[in-house]
Amino acid sequence: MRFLRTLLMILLAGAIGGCGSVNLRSVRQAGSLVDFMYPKATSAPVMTPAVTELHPPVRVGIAFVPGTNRNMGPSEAERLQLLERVKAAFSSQPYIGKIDLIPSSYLRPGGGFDNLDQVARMFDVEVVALLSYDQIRFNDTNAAAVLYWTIVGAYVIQGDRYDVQTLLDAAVFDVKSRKLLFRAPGTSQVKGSATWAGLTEQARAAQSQGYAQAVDQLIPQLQGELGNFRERVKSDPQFRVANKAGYKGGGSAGWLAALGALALLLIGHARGRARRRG
Amino acid sequence: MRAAVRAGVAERPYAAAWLALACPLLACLPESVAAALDWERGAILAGQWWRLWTGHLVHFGLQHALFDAIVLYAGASLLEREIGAPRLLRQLLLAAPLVSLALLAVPDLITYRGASGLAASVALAAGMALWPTAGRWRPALLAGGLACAASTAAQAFGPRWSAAGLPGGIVVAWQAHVFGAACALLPGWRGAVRIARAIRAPNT
Repeated sequence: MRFLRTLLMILLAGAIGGCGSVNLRSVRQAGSLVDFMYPKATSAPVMTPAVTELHPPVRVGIAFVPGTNRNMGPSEAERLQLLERVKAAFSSQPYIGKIDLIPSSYLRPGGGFDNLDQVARMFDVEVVALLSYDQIRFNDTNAAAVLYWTIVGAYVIQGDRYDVQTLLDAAVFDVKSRKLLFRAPGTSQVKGSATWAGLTEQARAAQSQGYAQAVDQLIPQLQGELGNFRERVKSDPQFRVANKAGYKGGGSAGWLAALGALALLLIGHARGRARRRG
Repeated sequence: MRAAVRAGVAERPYAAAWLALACPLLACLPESVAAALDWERGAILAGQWWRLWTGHLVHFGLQHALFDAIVLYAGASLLEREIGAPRLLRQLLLAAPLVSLALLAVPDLITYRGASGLAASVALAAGMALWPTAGRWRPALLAGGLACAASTAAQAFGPRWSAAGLPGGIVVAWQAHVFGAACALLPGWRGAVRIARAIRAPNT
């Protein structure tokens, strides 16, 4: 009987103690660009020097790199929301034409350039921006966590702390030449505390917030890189800008010609006045 | 005034003003209207010949239309004062299809909108008409002409996406400026200016 009572006490203590340590110390979500592009690479990829031809307005596809398993990373709805914001950064550029969001289900883990070629053909895009992500959530407890033992404390005492660190990286590839055109990173850190009962929910919200803040930081970087790339293309012999077959042309005089025309108008009026006086 | 009327010379360049005003006004109409009027290779080859003229009056946006309207008004108003509205309109009616037909030779161009071809034509013709009597204004006239030429050269040889006033996805069809400028060399402009001056000369 004493043995049974002792065993029951040990089991109860173990169960209550287990409540405090049921959460993992760290959780990682990652979609690696290298794993997707070069899944079985044992040596560095061989790049043959070639001129990359760009045909503005360039058709762009934007996608998240698939994670190592389907449950990793932000949800599909979240991904589409984040991609919409990245799309807005691209659409401000005059040399970019249509922009398509590519759902994650169209890319398979380790699909590489073959998978990228398929998707580019399917969506009729020339350039693909791939968003890779790496998010780590650290979980810790503070001194107040000792009150979880009271069971009520598990619901009212914020004894758990979380620290979510996120890295997002947008790498823009020309699909035909398989060349990396440019890249832009965005990072964020979200910290907070929660009760034992609310940790999962709050940590999940913090993870979403981490992605959103990383995109906030990524967008100005991306716009800067788009501007730099536009300048680089003018002088870099590795790039050539050509008209797209079947392009739309606008006969635009431009502001410089408009200034010249105004000068012409002024001269004409001055001359007319002089003639009338004469 | 009487001499001006006899020579068909406009005291106020109404025709130029209406032409220039048509550009931003048409730019405010729905896209379907512009699409029915623009220069479209397939449609023209299929017999929609009015597009040879109307394509010069529709634009890809208000900013695009305003830049073109300024240049068109500047050149056309000066010429209208010299040769009168009827001759100006006759010359433009001739230049518009010539520029449009020449654009058919531009490879891969499927759609074109813009008055800059005609604007280049009238601006150059006006410059040439002003030159003999410009006197001390000649350097300024030359600077204005060079600005227009530099603008076209920048559009032709610079990056294709540095389009002034054009929305994303539209490439500058600088060839229209070259064809338009070539139309300024048509004998009609110089002949009209010479005739108008000859009629006016004994009376002024």
